[in-house]
Amino acid sequence: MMLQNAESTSSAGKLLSAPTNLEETETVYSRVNCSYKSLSERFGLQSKDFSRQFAHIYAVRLTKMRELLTRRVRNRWGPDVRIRKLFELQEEGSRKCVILGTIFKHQELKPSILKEISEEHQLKPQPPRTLFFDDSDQLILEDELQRIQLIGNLDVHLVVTGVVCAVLGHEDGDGKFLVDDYCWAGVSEPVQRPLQSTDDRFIVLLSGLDLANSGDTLLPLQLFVDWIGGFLGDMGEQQHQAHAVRVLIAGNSVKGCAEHKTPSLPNTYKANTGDSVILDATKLLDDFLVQLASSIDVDIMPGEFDPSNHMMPQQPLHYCMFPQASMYQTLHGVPNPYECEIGERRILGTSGQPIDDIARYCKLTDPIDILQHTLEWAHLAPTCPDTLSCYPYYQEDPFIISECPDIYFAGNQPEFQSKLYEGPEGQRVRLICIPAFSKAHSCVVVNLNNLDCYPVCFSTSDSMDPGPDK
Amino acid sequence: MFEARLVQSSILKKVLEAIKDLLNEATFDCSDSGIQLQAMDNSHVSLVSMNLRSDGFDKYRCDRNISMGMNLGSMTKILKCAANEDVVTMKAQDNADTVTFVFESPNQEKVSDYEMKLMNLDQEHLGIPETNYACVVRLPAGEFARICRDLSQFGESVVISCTKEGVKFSSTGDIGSANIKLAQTSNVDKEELAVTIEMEEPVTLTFASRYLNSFTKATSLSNVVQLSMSPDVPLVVEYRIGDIGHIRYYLAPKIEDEDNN
Amino acid sequence: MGGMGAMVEMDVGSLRLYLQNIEEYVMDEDKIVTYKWLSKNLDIHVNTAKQLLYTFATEQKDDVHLTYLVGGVLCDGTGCKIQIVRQEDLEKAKAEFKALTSEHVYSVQKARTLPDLGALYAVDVHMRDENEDDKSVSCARLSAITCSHSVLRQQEEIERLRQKARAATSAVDGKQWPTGPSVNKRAKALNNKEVATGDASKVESGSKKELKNSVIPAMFAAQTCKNMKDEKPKAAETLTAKPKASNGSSVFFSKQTEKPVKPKVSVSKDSASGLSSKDSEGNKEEVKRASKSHQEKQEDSQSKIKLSKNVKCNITKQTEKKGGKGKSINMDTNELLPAKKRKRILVISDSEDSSGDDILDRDDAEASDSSPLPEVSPQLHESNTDDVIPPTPEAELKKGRKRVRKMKDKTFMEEDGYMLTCKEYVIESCTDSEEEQTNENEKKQPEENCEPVKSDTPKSPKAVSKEPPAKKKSLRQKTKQATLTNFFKKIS
Repeated sequence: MMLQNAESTSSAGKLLSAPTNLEETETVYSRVNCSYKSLSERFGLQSKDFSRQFAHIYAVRLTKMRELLTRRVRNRWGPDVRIRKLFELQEEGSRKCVILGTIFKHQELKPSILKEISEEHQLKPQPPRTLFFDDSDQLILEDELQRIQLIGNLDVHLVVTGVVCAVLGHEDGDGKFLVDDYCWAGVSEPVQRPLQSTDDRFIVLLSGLDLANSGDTLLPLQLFVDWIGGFLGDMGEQQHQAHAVRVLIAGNSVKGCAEHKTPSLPNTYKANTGDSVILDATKLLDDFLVQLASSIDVDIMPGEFDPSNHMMPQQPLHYCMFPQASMYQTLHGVPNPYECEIGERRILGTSGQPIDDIARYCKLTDPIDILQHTLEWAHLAPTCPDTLSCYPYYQEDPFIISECPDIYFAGNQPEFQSKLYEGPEGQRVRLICIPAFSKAHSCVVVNLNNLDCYPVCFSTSDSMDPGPDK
Repeated sequence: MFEARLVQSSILKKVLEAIKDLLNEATFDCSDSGIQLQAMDNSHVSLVSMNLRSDGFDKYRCDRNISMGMNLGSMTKILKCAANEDVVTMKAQDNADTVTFVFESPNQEKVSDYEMKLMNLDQEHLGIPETNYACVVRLPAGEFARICRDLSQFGESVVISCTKEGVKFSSTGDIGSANIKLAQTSNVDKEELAVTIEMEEPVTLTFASRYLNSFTKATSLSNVVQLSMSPDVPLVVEYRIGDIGHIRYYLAPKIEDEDNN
Repeated sequence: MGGMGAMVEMDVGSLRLYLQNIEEYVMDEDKIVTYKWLSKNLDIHVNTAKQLLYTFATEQKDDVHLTYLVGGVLCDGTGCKIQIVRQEDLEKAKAEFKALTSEHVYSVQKARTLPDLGALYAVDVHMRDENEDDKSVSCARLSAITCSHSVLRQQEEIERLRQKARAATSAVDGKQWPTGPSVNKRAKALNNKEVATGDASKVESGSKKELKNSVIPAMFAAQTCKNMKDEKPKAAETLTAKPKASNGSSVFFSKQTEKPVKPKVSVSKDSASGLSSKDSEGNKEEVKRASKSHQEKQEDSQSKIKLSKNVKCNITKQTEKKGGKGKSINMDTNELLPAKKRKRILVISDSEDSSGDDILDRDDAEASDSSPLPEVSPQLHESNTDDVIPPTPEAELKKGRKRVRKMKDKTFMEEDGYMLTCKEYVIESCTDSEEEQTNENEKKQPEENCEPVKSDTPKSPKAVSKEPPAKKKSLRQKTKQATLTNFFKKIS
């Protein structure tokens, strides 16, 4: 891979010479081809029925994850442990048993429209908040019929609403459940998928192009495109680039932040041009995508601020938005979340909304930490539909992670982070937080063979002087 | 003692849906042979006649004939409390002034019962003579509903004329006129999609589209609707209710106003 | 370095020629020459372009300024970096790297220092703009990597993708596309027409059915009316439907082109017929395509691609608008498109609510407002004081009665004692003199006021006529709703 290559060979500088040896310098490498299978059908919406309530998602989530959990529980606390439903608790008395259910986190500070309305009438000024956890938060476990408050050995600040878990303990006198130990659904057992190829193959992940506020992003982005396309660099670099098999753009390509955060002139100017900015950005994106698509497969996911639907799962960006790039078979509009198999590697991830949302409601702050938690919770977005909007599913919960991915990513994170998660059953999952390109000017390269991963930063010495704003 | 148990509460729901547009309250006449309902709407232009045979019920018991006047609005409210797959049982004591609805979830885990007060309603039964209709048209119920809906946009009345070639629905109004012709389906692959016409003589009648639209509320009960017409006789629109009965609507035609000539 | 022995060398003649070219660009035209721009302009491999720039720069050392591209693994272990640096910063920048993987000249320019490296991006953009036609296609040829599977999609595939994407998005949006209603209207209008004429050949529902249609047309002829149900999806689908097979498409086109010729029933705003045809052209891009293809008489496939590019632009706008951003994108498309095309876009937007912030759009809306076809004029204030005269819907509904809409002055006393005179439209009956009085007073009411059925249902049951309701007569005459008690006897 690149890191090692760089140390062993020093092909750099060969182009600092007269054009004499054309045979060597004009080598054209052909891009490595790699098998690909989309596994994202479950994120596509067939019907649009918004008349249903959201309760069904929780019901189906609990039903499906109960199977996973039961296995975990037996593994962890022995085969004899009694698993009880909540309504059976009374018979158990103070004997230890395990209960399964969905966590509901009672949070005073959680925004509630009812509260807003009632407080509006009393004219009580509400400070705007971005974080909603508080020490008064309580945990409540719900199954199909009942709920019970959890106390004891489960830190309220490390979980969020919607997580399905098993807790071991007993009911105390006040009708609360005293937790001794707990267990998540965990990562499912890895499926052995022998690699077909020993050649190095890479995928390149990036996110948050934020072309609506591009400014100084454009040159780095152009460098990135040229780098992928085999224009930039010495022959060694280009040869290496030919092993990149796919570029995955994880959301917020058009726009990276909500309107009010946009650094711009005062509103008078903004009000009229806000939308044309989007349009220009889309056109710009098309310009970049067509360059990328002419030389590599590109998957483009929508993000929180992209012109797609807002609810999870977000549907693929419309091909009509990219009149040039959609001419190429290599442009693939994919949903968010997105799951696929590239060269026998299963890749799963989101554009980052679930991670951001979880960070607002618990004391987990490190994105890579949250990412790992969602993996252990076996759920892509537990806070759907509570605080993260999602489609009212009826008979399925597509966000359950039922098969162990090899690469699990979240887009639009403040900085690059990566971690190799090693599970108890030999699962190896590469967790990646993809930085927003508009801020870090970086993309992430992942080697499909050994799951190694490193960021590549594109900069100009101009932007370097004040220091890359991370 | 009256007791009738129906495995699918959805049927009862649909029946109610089909009549509550026209009727505010109605008398359910329960006898050994089943449940009948006959009532006219307030304007006495249309009549609903519903019949559920006793053998269509899962369990049926009626010791003595009983007439239960019910407010259909209230009954709808109660039936809304039942899930579609619930088993519904109607119960009433002899000479009682309430009726009880019991809903049981399929796995027997949930049982709910609702008691509703009955009303004393003036009985206004009409004798409906057996008639040989000149034209009997069968067509997909959805199609009929669609036609009625579309034509009601044009005018308040719909002219239905049935000839050998087919049946024609037309309406004229402020914005213009609309005509829909249905020909007999030549080859019948699926019976529920076919248009069939049995005719002795051509008939042309005019009806208020408002009522036709109300009748089509029964569309969910059956795939096929049967229209029977004869000159100067009310139209009969019939939907079968599964295989346990039927619901028939009678609608008086519009006739020429002599005063105006 | 490099070229020793019997390797392929660039011959001296062409090398000099290239260098002269560069000199011209840099010295005379005062351009910033990047390797990519050079490669593109001279049609040479990018690596060669980099070397040429280097050669040129070494020869003209004192007169030009360089930027370099360096790339490699960083010392601090935070991954890799690829960086453009100015000549003077080169060594400093190289010190950051643990290992260099790339180092080459990025650009050459005459100016001593580039004020902003962002200018380098502008060079590339200009290059792309200059070569509008073949954007990246020819660029990729010059790079060091080829991608065998990156091929252009077939036109049909693009079309299919677009539809698919749209279906998916619409499924999520959970609402009709804003243009939906107008489409539906049109579908309905077509329905009526088709039903009336019984023209089975026109009835087709979506491309699948189209196929079927050709196989068993007889069946469809029998089911003309049945297809009404399918009409709506069809209309929506044909908006973007493109030819599936060439012969099939021509049939399709010719059909579509007929439609706009007919007077529009659906879009009430269009007053002038010219406008309406434009409208339909805008709405149905395949119509436009069809007309174009008529003009161009099916040129070869190359030109088709260009054509489709145009078409595609419009689709983009259209669909983006459908995505619920009507107003905004509308405005932008105007900026983007050459003036010639504006009309077309305008008319698209015409089928929606006219947007407030687009001046052109507003003009259009005003034009239609002032058109002779009167819309319902606001009459809220009148209803306060006027006795509401019950509408006589039956009279209105009579076929064959000629009615004229006239502008009338209406004077009345307002609550606070002022006389107000309003101009309003009334519907007058010319033929039926006995009705005139009522009709004159009758205002053009909003539709819901004329709920007719109630007013006539409670009429007395005495009017029982045994005459057969001969249809032709009865249309001109009043009909009366009979009650069931006329037919059935009560059992008591």
